[in-house]
Amino acid sequence: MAVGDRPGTERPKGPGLLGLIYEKVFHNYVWQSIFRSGYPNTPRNQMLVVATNVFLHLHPTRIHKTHVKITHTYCLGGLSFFLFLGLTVTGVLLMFYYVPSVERAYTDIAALETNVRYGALMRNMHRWMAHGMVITVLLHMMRVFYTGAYKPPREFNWVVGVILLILTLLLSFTGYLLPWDQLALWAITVGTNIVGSAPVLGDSVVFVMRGGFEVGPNALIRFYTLHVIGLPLIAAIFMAVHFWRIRRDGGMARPL
Amino acid sequence: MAAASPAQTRPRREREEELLVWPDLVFVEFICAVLFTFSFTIMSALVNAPLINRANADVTPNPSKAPWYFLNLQEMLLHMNAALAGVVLPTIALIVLAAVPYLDRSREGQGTWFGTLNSVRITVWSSIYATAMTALLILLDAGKHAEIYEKVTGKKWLGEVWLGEPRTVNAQTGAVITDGPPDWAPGFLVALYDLIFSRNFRAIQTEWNWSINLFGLDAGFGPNGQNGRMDWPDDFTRIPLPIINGTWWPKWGNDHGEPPPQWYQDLPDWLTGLYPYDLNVNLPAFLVEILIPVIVIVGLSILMVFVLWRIGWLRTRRDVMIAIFTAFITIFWVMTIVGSAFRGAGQDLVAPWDVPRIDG
Ligand code: HEM
Repeated sequence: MAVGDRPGTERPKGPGLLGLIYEKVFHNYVWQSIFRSGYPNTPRNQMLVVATNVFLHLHPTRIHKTHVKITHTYCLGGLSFFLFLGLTVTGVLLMFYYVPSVERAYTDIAALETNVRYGALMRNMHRWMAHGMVITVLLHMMRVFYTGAYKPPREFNWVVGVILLILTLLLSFTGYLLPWDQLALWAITVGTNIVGSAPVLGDSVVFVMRGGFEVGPNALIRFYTLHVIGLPLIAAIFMAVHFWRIRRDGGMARPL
Repeated sequence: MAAASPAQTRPRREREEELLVWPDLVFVEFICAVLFTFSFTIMSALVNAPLINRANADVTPNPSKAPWYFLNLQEMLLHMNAALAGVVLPTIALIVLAAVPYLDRSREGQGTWFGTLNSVRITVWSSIYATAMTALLILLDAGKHAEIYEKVTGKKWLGEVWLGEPRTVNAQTGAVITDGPPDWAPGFLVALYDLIFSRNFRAIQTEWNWSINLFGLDAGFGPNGQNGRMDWPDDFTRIPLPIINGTWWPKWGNDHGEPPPQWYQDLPDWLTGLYPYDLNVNLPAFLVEILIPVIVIVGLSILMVFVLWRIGWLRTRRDVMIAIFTAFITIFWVMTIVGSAFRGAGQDLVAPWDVPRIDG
C-alpha cells in the first residue's frame, strides 16, 4: 500500500509510465484529502466515489439495468434539474446587470445586447432554458405517469412533483414580467386577470400579486423578488425532498 | 399494521440485474448534460429572445396573450365563465392530478411503459377522442359550421333557413319588425328554430330574442321587468336570490328603488356596509357560460370512459386513469397550440400565418 493511501482504497496493478502518473495524480496527499476514494476504475472505488461525494450520492451506488436505459426515463427529471441549475447560473449573471425598477428594467435588458459581452447569449440561454424546463417537467410528468411510477410507495413523491410543476410555472411566469416590454406587461396583465376572476377572493389576490390595481412598479419588484429568491428557494427545497424520496421509496419504480 | 405505502414490497433485487451507477448512469447523465448545454448554447447564439417596445399601459397589443403555457386557460376563457375557466376548473384539475396515486392504488403495471394490457390502445384512442372533441368544440363556438354553410350555399345561416329572412323583434313590445313568424306560432317555438340555427352557444345570450305576452302580469327581473311581457334575455338577467316577489334583493341589486325590508335595516352597520356583492343571477349568462360548458365537459368525459368501458378495454382503475390523464394532457396541449398559433387579433380563430406578430 502506497504511503498516503487510506485503508481500503484499491488501485490497478502494473507499473509503467501511466501507472506512475496515476500514482502521482490520484494518490497524493492533496487529492486524497479531497476525494476519499481512489480514481473510480475498480468496482469498489466506483461505488465509493458515488457514496462519498455529496453531489453523486443523490444516486444509489448500484441501479437496476432497466433504469439506465435511456428510453425508461429519457433523462427528463434529470434534465429538468439540470435546466434548473443552468437557469440559476445564467440568472445570477443576469442579476449583475438588471435593476428591477420601471425606469431601468427595460433599458438594462436592452443594454445586454449592446453593452455587455455575451450579454445577449446569457439572456437567450436563460430564456430558452426556462421554456425548456417547463416542457421537460411536463414531459417528465407524462413519463412518470405512463410508466406507472406514481404507484405505492411513491404516491407522495407524485404530489411533490405536482407542487414542483406549479413552482416551475410560477418561476417562469414571474420571470416573464422582468424585461418590462409590451410582451411582458400584457402577458402578466392577462395572466393576473385570470386569477382575478376567482370568485370572492379574486380581487384581493390580484391586488396582492400586483401590489396595486394594475401591473406597475410594485408588481415588478414583487415578481422580481419571487423570481430570484422566493420561488427558487422553495423549489430547491421541494427538489431536495423529491430526490430524497426517490431514494427512500426504494429507488425508481420497477415491475413487481 | 396496514401502512399506506410500505417501502419494501419488492423482492430482494438480484445483483446480476444491477449496474454500477459509476460509470453506467453517471456517464449517461453527463452526456445528456453536455448535449443539452451544447444545444442551448447553439440555439441561444442563433435565436434571440424577444424584446419589443417598452411596456406601455396605454397601448394594448391585439392580441394580448399570456405566456404560452397559460394559453390553454386563456383559450378556455373564450368559451365560458372567467372564474370557471381560469380558476375553478384549473384548481379541480390540479387537485385531481395530485390525487392520481390515491385514486389508483393498485400496483399493476408499475415501472414499465404502458404496463397494462390495453394501455396503448386506451392512450391512442383517448388522445384522438380528446383532440377531435376539443377541435370540434372550438370550431363550433367560433361558428365555423355557419361560415361553411354560408360559403357553400351562399345563403345566410341564421333566419333564412326556416324563416326566409333574418327576423328582428322589438325587445320592448315583442313586435316583429322584419318578416315575422306566422301569427299562430308561439314566439317561443319560433325562437327555438332560430336557436338551432344560431352560430354558437353564446347566441342563446346575445342573438336569441323572444317575448311572451303576460297580459299585464308583472313578472320580470330585468331592466324592463314591469312591461307585462316576458322577454328573453332582458327579463332574465337579474333574477334575485332568493326570489321574493321577484322585485328586491336589498342593496344587492334592487332595481326599483324600494327601501330595504326591516330585517335588513336591523342588521348591524358593519354588515350592511360590506362591499355589495351582486347576488342576482344572470340566467342567460349562467346557461351559456357555466351550465352548458360544465355539461359538455362532464358529459364528454363520461362518454369517453363509457365508450372505452363498453368496448371492454377498461379493466382496472389504472386503465380509467390512463384514459382521463391522456385526455387531460391532450386537451392541455391542443388548447396551448390553438391559443399560440390559431388566435389572432381579437382572439379570433385564424390560420397560423394570419396571427399578427406583436412587436410594438
Ligand atoms: C422541477 C421539477 C422536477 C424535477 C427537477 C424532477 C426530478 C426528478 C428526477 C431527477 C427523477 C429521477 C428519475 C427521472 O429522471 O425520471 C424524478 C423521478 C420522479 N418524479 Fe420528478 N421531477 C420534477 C417534477 C415532477 C413532476 C411534475 C412529477 C409528477 C407530477 C414528478 C414525479 C416523479 C416521480 C413519481 C418520480 C419517481 C419515478 C420512478 O420511480 O420511476 N416529478 N424526478
